[in-house]
Amino acid sequence: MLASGGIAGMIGTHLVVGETYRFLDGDLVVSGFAWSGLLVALLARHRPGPMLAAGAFFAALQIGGLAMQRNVNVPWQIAQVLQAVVIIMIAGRFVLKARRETAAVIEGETTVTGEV
Amino acid sequence: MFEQLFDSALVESVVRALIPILLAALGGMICDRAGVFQISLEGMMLVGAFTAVAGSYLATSATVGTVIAMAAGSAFSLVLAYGAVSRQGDPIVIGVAVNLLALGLTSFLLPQLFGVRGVFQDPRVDGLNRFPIPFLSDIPIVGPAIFRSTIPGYLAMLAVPALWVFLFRTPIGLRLRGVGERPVSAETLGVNPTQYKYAAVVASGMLCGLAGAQLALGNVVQFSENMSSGRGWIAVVAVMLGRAHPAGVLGASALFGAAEGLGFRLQGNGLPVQITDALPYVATLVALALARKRFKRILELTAA
Repeated sequence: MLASGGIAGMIGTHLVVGETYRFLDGDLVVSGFAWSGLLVALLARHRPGPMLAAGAFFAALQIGGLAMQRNVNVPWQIAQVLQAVVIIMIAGRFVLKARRETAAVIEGETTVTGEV
Repeated sequence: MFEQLFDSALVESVVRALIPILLAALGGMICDRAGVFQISLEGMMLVGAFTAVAGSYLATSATVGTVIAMAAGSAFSLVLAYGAVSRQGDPIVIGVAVNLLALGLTSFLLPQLFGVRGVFQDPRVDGLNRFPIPFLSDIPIVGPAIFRSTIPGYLAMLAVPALWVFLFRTPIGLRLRGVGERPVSAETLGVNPTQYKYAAVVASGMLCGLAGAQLALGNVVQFSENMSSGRGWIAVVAVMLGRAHPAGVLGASALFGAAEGLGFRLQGNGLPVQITDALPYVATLVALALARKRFKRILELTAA
C-alpha cells in the first residue's frame, strides 16, 4: 500500500514538475489517469510486461482521440467509448480461452463456445 | 449558528440527496446478495439520467422519461450480466469499463442529439411532479421532506421494507441469497444461479435508471455531463457499510445524504466548495473506520 501510494505520488510530481510546471486544479481528475491505470493493471493481470503494452495501447487511444478531435473534429469521447468496449471484449475473451483449456482437460476435446 | 444550519429546508435537501443514493444502493444490495460484485451503479445511473431527459424531451412527459430511464438502465446492466455471469469475466474490470462506457457514450451523444456541450436544458423537458400526501405532509420539519416527494422518491422509501420482505420472507428471496452464499448448494436444489444473477443485475439496472431519472428530472430538470458525479460510488460504499441489509443500506445512504445536504448548506454559509465536496467522502472514511471492528468480527465469524 505504501509503495503504491509512493508511485502514485510520483505521477503527481511528474505532472506538476515535469509537464505543466504549475499546480492545475483538477488536472489529475480530468485526465482520468488513475482509472485508466487501474484498468491497465487489471487487464494485464498484474504482470509487468503486458502492463507496459496495455498502458501504451491505452495512452495511444487517449492521445489519438484528442488528436482526432483537433484535426478532423471527431469528438474525443469516441476514444473513451472505444476504450470501454475493448476492455469489455478482452475481459470476456480471457475467460473464453481459460474455459476452452479446462474443457479440453475435462472432456479431452476443445469446445467452441459462442461468439466473442 | 445551529438555528441557522438546521431547519426543515435542510431536512428536505438531505432527503433529496438521499433518494438517488438509496435507489442505487438498493440495486447494489440485491446484486451483492446474489453474489455479483456490482460497481457499475455509477454508469447505469448516468445512462438513466441521460435517457430520462432525452425521453422527457421527446415525449414532453416525465413519466415516459422515467420509464425509458428504467428500461435503459436495465438494458445497460446486461453488459455486466453477460460479461460477469455468462462469460465469468472479472466483474470489477467490466464494471469499471461499463462506467467508462456510460460516461463516454452520454458525453458523446449529448452534442450529437441536442447540439449542446456540457449542460442540456430545455423548457420541453418535463420535470417530475411532487405529490404531497394530505395530513402527513403537514407534520413539521419531516413532513414536507418525506411526504411531499416524487414518484421515484416514494418508490425508494417503499422499496426498503418491500425488499426486506422479499429477501428474508419469500422463497424467491431465500433462493436469491442462496445463489449468492452457496451457489453449489443452490444449484443442487434445482435453482438456476445464472437466472437469479441476471435478474439481480437487471433489477439493479432498473433501480439505477430510476435513480438517474430522479436525479435529472426530480432534483433538477436538466442533464449535465457526468451528473451522477460519484453518487454511484457512494452507493457502492453504502452497500458495504450497510452490510447488504435494507435497514443498514438505508442508514448508510441517510448518512451520505446528510453529508451532501449539509455540505450544500455549509457552502451557503461561506465554506469553500472544495471542503464541502469532500464531506461525503470524509463521512465514508470515518464510517468505515468506526465500523471496522464489527467488520472484523463478521469476517472471523464467516471464516470459522
